[in-house]
Amino acid sequence: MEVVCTVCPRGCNISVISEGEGYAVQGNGCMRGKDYALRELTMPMRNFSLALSVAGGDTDVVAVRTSAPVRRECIAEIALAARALTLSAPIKAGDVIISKVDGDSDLIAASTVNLKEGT
Amino acid sequence: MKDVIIIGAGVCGCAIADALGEYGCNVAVVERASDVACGATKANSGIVHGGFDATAGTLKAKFNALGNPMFDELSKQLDFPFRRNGAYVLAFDRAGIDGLEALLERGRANGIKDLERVDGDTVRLRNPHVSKSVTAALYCPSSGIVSPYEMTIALAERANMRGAEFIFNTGVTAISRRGSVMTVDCTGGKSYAARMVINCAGVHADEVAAAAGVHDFTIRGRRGEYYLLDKTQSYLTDATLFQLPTSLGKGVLVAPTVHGNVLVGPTALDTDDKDGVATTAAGLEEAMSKGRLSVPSISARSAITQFVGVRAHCDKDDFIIGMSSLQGFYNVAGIESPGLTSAPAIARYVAAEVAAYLSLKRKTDFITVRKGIPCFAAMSDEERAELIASDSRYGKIVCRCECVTEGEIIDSIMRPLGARDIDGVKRRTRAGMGRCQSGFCSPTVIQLIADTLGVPVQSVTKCGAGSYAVTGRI
Amino acid sequence: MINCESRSVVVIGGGPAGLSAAIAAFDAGAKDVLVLERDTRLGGILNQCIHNGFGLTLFKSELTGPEYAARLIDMASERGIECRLNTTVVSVAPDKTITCVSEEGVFSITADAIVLTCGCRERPRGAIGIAGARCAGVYTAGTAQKLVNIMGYMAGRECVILGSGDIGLIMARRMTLQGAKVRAVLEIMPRASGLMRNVVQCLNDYDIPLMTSHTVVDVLSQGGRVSGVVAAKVDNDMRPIAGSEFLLPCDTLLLSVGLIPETELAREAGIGLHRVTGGAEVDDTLMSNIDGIFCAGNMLHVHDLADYACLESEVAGKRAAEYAINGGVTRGAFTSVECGDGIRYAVPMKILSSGSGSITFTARPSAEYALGRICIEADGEEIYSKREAGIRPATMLRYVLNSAQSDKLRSASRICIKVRE
Repeated sequence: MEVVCTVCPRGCNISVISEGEGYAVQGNGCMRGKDYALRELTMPMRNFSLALSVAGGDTDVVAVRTSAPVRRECIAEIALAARALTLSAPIKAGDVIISKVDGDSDLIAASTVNLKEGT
Repeated sequence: MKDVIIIGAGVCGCAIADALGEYGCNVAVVERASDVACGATKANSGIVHGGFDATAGTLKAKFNALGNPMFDELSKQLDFPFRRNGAYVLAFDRAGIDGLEALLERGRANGIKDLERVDGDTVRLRNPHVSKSVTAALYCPSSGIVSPYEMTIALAERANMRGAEFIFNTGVTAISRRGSVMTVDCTGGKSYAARMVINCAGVHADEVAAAAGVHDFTIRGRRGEYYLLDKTQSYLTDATLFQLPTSLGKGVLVAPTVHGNVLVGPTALDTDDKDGVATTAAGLEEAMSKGRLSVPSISARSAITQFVGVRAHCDKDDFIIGMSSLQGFYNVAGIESPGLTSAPAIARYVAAEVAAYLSLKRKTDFITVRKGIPCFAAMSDEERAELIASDSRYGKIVCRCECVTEGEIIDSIMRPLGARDIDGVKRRTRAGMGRCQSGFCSPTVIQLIADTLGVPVQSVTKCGAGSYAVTGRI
Repeated sequence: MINCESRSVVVIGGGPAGLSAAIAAFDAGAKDVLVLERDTRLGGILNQCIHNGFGLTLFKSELTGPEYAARLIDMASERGIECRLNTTVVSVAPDKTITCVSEEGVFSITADAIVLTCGCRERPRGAIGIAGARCAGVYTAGTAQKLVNIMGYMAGRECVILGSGDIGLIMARRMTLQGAKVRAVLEIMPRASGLMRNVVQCLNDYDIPLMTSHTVVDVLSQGGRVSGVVAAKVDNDMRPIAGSEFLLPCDTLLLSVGLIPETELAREAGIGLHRVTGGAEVDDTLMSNIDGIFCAGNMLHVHDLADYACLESEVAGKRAAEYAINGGVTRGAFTSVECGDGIRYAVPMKILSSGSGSITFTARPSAEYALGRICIEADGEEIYSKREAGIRPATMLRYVLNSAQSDKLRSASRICIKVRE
């Protein structure tokens, strides 16, 4: 199987060939690429981010992201759940928005929203 | 009841509303679109024609000759950009030289005295980027350039200061007369009464006339596609460059705009879709290739936008100005080129006719001066500092390409007949007119419109009904 | 009425490049650094790039744009670097007088050295002449990104994206995750113009078709908003093939058709621009033809990665500090860098014979090579060479030469960078 690595911007073309019990991996530029390629075969994992509405803040939007890669098949469901949330300021970058969205990965704030002045 | 209802807030409708203000006339202008200058008025070449082109004896020739000299004072009174940059009509062959001679004759017959015949080398000496294949030209120094929509906004604002009411987003469905009262039925079940109705409906003037039972002329839409080039291209020409019509057809112009861009176009294609302002690949290619005949180094890559204007071409091939067969229903129709140049003269003429019909006397005291929005971009550092000291919002530059401030944008919305949508702000302030074409400033402009009008961002439009900028909250 | 002040190094633009330049200038000894930023906050376009994938080189971790910006902002603030927000520079004179405007008024600042880090802008619809309706719903990808990620409004519900630049690819995923439908990404070239990893994780992951050798030939509207686009296949000369047209219904057309260095101020200052990059022309100290004015980041040439824009800007910041501290430099002879086979452009464009230290090259390939060797030659002698797999125009190349290699370039009368197969 051919895999384009997304670990870094280089985008290595990696070949994974089944070899007896295991797999032979070729074309990876680094070890992380090998892990990625093998993972891609069995259970693709991704980080992703979203913009969510926030009430009462100095801006109306907070950026959120997964703290660690989640299973690719879970992304749509997590996004849907996150967009259904009602969030209020203040939110600090790093705050957990939803804990344990998949495995140990949390959905965390990637930006800070302060309370609107005068509130 | 109004004295006069004007249908259409293009340059003619607004100029007539303004001129009627000098008679203390009680005017309402009914406009289908969300703003003034939304039809052919906003999408034309912006040329104040010298007046040599129209056939002698026509209304076009008459009002062009009368209109052109009015622009100097009018632009000062109304604070809109206008400049006499001069125009050349370029000939490309021997036959063209005869054509220029005929044009010169026609000009003289129209009373245009300052025309000059020049040879190809002289044209190129004065305009180094003009094509080597130009053999001769007719030069008209009194030709000028104007921002047609800014002129119209200025006319509308002064008309409004003089008492005219503007009713937007309102189309006309029927016009009738009962006794001495004209009734104008409009979309949305509204109805307005007046002693007189003036039809300034541009490309739709025949339909409006038909709604009054007047069927004596038809208007065809004539599409013209244009390229607008970046300000970096202003070196290409400072004069307006027309082409003498050849066997290959009517030419296009290459002209500077008052704001320093370069305009290339228009094509001319008759259309049944009078509101069809979509550009076409073929039309744009034609405009560009014809433009290159005059100035070979024009490049489509330096374009910042393209647009289409639909001219109101009348089957009678002249302006129609006068009371129709229905008493009280007055046509100002078929106002295609040189309509923009003629508009101030037409307005003066029509106002006098209307006043006579309604027995109104010209007042001696009426507002003459209309001040535009401060133009930060055109100011010196000292003037800028003073303006910012008066209101700090002039210190926030929103449109970086055209150097437009938040203060100007809010002004454009807050003024009488203020902007209600993104294009309205753009035409009044030039925010979004520059080389990034609103890429950077449109989110801010959208927010400012919402905040200033106190409406949700979701209701802000590009140009009125349906043209929503965003489709909802995330 | 117009205030006047003087500074050693002024950085124009407080995005990632500007902050990096300011930090490097400070660290190189310029203690009087000032950053001028138009926006209400620092970080530039990073603030709207809420996707992850930033910072692998610079911070050795995978960050979102806002997090990346926050790190740079923290570094600048730890150093006490003054950053003036809501301040737009309206002109830069060749004598290094800067005029800027803010809510406080009009200010004039004279600088010993200036670093221009003004970023870039997106090519708009008009620049590529897409025919069709002039209606609402046509946005550049970056504008849509700001609407969605900063303002919190959906630019549309059903999108077609023209151009497979990185922002277009990123926005395909962003719009999908926010609940919109992305019908297709059309690319006029036979291959994606963005990074492969973005094709994989922004399109393939979400089953969004990438239609290469396709373009938009018409925009349709209904009620003032986009109602669809007509797409067509293009031939080898990138001309639409008659008869291949098909309709893609949508309410939004997003454009990701190229970025252009923001050179308004540079041009006015008399800075020479490069024919290919559209950005400034610089020597190996990243100084422009105007003494004491340095350029870096996307206003110099458009980068794929913020990391590389920052690393480049560090050079400009350091050199600007040296210039300011030493009261100028005398620039002697220089040699122009020639772009040989497979190279579209290279930065720097000139190598000064008088300099010292390490030179960093960045280059944009002009073609694809499965396997190639990048060579830098001085007077025909290969002084640097690196094997690269998967050379693509979408991926910028970057090489840091050591001092010995750099010195060889400085004494050369011909310098060439090329790809050998």
